[in-house]
Amino acid sequence: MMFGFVKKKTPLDLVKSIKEALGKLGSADSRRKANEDISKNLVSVKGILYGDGVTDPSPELVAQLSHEIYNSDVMPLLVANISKLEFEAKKDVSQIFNNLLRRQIGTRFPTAEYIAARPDVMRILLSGYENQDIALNCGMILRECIRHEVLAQQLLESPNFWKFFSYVELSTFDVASDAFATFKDLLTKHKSIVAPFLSSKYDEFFAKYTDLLNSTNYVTKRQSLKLLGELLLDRTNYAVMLKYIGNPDNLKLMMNLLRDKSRNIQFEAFHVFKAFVANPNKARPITDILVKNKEKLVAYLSSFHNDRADDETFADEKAFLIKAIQDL
Amino acid sequence: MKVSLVFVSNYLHRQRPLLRQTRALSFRRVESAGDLKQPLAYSPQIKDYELITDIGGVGDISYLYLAKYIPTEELVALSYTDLTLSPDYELVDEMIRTIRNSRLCSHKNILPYFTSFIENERVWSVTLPVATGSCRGIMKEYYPDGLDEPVVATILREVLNAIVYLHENHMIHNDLRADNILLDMKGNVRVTGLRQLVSLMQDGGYLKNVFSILSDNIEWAAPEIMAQNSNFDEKVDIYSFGITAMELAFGHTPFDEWSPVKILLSKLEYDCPGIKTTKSMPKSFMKMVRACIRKNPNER
Repeated sequence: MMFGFVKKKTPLDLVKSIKEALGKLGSADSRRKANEDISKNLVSVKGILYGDGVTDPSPELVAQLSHEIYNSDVMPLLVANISKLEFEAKKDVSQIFNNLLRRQIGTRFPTAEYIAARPDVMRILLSGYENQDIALNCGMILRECIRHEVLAQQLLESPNFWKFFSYVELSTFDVASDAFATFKDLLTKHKSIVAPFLSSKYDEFFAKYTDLLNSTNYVTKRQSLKLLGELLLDRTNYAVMLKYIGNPDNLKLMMNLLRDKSRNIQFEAFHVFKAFVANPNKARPITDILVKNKEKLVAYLSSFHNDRADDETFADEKAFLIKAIQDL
Repeated sequence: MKVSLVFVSNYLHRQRPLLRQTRALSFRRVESAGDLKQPLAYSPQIKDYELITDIGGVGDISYLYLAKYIPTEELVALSYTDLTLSPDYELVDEMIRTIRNSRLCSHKNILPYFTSFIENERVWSVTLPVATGSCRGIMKEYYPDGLDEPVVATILREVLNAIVYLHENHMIHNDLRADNILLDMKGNVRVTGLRQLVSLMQDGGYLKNVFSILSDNIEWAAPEIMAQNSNFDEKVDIYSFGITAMELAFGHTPFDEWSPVKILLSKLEYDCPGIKTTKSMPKSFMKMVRACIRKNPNER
């Protein structure tokens, strides 16, 4: 530092003062001072973890600091009190978590292990979606958490997982879209745990998912339809896809969405619909529906999004579908 | 960055903020919306807003209204973007990013953002109303040859506050121009247009530089962005700041009415050209501008 006589707080001091101040947030008279202390100390913590942008962080200090953070159990407290912190301090909390969550010692991720042992942390983070002021901050930490398979699995298996279906339908757009981003990460980042999850919770999951596909919110509808296409066409989810495209109700839903008033919805629906038609071993009820609507489908598809001429894959797929339906 | 910022702020300090002069500018477009205190939460339902005046298109993809928030009778700016405009998903992602970015900024010189919601196929955002609109609009209507020097200096100083805040938060604005600087009746300056904002803080660390696709701000974009063959850092904002300073002072940039190809080639090959004008600005101003628009980012 520039001035030799300014003694920098040690990691131990920093963590201790943060923890003390967090305890004082409850009472009205000490709250302001406590908040100032927290904000100031969080900036210092962030400084140690991230460096100042010019010099890299010192590994010894980082090690000491993270050791103190785990030992003092300050992380659950920070999460629990994040709504009471100042605006910039909330962001600092996310940034501190996200740095710690990347910390790796050999093959171990100590922060992920720490959070895995304290399920409350993720539960509180998830409930952050219920408060617009902290939703994005909590969302950022959650997405960083679920990069770790153990934490993703914990969240998938917890009863709280089902809350996503209401969070992504929240009327505040920024919160709902952040929740959707997290939901999507959770369902696509660790394929090996998602496939068994979708198989075992098939009925419950797709019952709720169908509500999203029928949502009155245009973005929810479009996003969930797009994600459905991605999930079903992923090879690890093959068994789930077979089950999904064997159900005539799902086919009817896709055929309706294919005629949705929004062209973008129609287009996303096409990418799910194609799986029903391309399936070489169609179930009887599926073939029946397709045969019954043969003429209409062929006519509709022939004029379907013909302006997307530059999308060759789409044109090929469409030609293939038309032929397949005609041949039924 | 440090060096040129000091340079810029030295210049601006000599032109001590003449807020009164800014206030003296009288614009008659929309009645003053007054100072707004942000209530706890604005409702995410279109039925709670009453559209008052149709202000017009912004940034090619959005449409802006002055509206009344019915529960509290406060005035707000309400803008919508039609999500069916583009067939691909990029537009939805871009809206999500822009709104996220706005939500993560809180600074007196950055346009405060209140809430956003979906209605049919549109996304609406509710922000603070800025009665007089953008500096570009003000100049177009009242000051085609640019604003007076004290006014320019005052605006730039406020814009610089916003840039310092963004850079401290490791964000690059990446789209500074008079269009994105709003001015209200009291002379408050608010930077907006966070569509192209890039964050250098990713994956639990700081990135030293980033890459992003060139957008439609080619007159203001720094040469290293135009080149599209390397990463860039915060210095791109300093370049745009310099061009914007000239735009405010003279009513147009040095690249006004140039064809995009000519701008591209000129920026890649040469230093920034001189500006066509009959107006004279003090030497210190031009010196500050020249320091900002150096072709080599390290010299800015």
